[in-house]
Amino acid sequence: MGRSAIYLVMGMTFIFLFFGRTMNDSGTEAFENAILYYEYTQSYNIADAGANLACNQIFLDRNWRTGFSHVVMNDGEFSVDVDTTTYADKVLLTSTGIFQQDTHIVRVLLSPSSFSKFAMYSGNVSSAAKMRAGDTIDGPIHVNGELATQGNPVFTERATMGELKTASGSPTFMGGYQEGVNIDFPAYTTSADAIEAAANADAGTLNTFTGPGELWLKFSVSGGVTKVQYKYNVSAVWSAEVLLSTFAPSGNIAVVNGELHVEGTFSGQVSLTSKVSPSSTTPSATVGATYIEDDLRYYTDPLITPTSTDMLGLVSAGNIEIRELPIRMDGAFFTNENATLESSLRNNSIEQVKIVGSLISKEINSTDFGTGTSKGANFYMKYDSRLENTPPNNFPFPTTNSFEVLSWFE
Amino acid sequence: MGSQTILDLIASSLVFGSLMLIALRLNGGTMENVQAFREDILVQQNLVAVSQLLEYDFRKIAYCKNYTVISSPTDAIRYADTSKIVFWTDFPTTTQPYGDGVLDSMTYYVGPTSELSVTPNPYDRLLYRVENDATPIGVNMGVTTFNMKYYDALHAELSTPVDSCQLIQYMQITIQVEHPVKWTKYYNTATYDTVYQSAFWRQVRLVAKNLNNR
Repeated sequence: MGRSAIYLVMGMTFIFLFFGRTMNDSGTEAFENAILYYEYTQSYNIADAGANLACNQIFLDRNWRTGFSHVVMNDGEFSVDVDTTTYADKVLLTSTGIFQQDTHIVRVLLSPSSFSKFAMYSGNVSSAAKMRAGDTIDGPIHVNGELATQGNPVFTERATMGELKTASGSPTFMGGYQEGVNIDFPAYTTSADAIEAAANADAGTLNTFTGPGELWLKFSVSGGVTKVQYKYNVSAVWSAEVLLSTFAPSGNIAVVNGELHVEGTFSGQVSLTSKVSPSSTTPSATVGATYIEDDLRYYTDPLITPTSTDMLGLVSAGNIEIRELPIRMDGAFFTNENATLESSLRNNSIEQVKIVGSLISKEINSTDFGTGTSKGANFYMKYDSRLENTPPNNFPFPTTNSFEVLSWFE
Repeated sequence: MGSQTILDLIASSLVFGSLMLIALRLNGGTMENVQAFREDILVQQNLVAVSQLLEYDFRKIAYCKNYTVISSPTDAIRYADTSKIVFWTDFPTTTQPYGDGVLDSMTYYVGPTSELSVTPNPYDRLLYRVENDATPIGVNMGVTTFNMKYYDALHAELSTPVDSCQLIQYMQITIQVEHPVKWTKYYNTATYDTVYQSAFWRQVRLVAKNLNNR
């Protein structure tokens, strides 16, 4: 009996020890599984935080290249390497996050950002000016101040602004939006001066017109050749057609301290400026202003033929005023003042302003493009992607002094 | 051998027998617990594997090492429904861990429950992860729920299938993994029905950073 009891106790003890260990192992394994996922997530979060902090440093100081080394974060650490050699003119950030045994790498490729990427940019938009139902901005847009919307305007690509204000309805942001972004309005005088200098260097018919006064230009294409007619006031008779290659051999035409009125269809490269001199002169309706009298179009439509080489850059010190609806305007348009509709069109039933290219305006006031919900003009801005890499000659597409993310690997 | 000895033997046999029965019952109970633990781990490991894979792939929506290949990242999601998504990405290779710069197509979806009718669990499905135009091969990870919701920039939920995938800015992914076999010790405390061991994971707002980086 005594021996049997001892055997029984020993057997029971062995069984308990065996199962106890097995159950303990199971518990440990389950815990390891949870820890594995936790470590993976933590190392990813730390690497991501490192990349975000490095991006922030570069956005604060675009020349920051120091990187981070073994920065302790959340019981782990991260290091960020800043590489400017692998990709020309770009910055590659490699953030390595380490937590316990786990390592995660995040790579971010940044590129200096340029104004050429915007379909529409405005330094300041009156808070009463709204993007309305029927407006479509088919390309990136930035507004320094408040972007107000009414109804359901559509933004097909990224929208950045100081503040988004939705007066009514629900805007559609297909590329997302970001508030709190400020991009200083670019200087333009160098570009306008360069167009004038290039125009003066030509031995053309009339490369630079000096005001006061008006210069009216009408382009047309016949047999694949661009011709120009011109006159000096609205009631004057158009001149005979002159080949653009004769009128302005380099395609640069400048109006100084006067009004530029332009319309028509052309092929090739044309750069226009309506500037003021000296640059401290305040533009007005008769000095430094530009008037788009009717359709201003490329002969070869880049929406149909993406390889089109037709290109227009228009730089205006004063307002760019649109005087016809509906209208299509092809090109990159810059105004150091307002983009606006002629006042008589603002209360008419709504029609379309279609711009294929880009529009940079310093200001847009509350009723510049119409009143209420259904008067004036609807925008259809179609970004011409050729502008990003091959902008018009002498056009003010400087860097925005910040970077944009080209790719984010995590 | 006297009568006292016989009584001792009978008593000791009863005691031994009782102890043996207790030991066997204990053995059975412990075995069941150990096995249940093991199956729990299996379910949880499957869930971790699936969620890590999804997070890894979904964070690379619209990513391409050669960024010029994706001129408009908002076009990267090609199809989006509650249980299926197709998007552009760039697969890493052994020699190029950050992608080879060639655009690839990734498809995720779950098959019908009938594909796994051989398992006792009537709700489990095959999870498919298809690279480019490869032949779809499903894996049985015990996925019973694979649900995605899509939100626009203003955090409004989009109806599915999403008509205009450009609108997608955020995603919610829900996965539930269940064991293929029902264990008797798991009960629904409300109905006292036995249930399948399960684990649940939800990524409340997944943001693919490349979707709107430009």
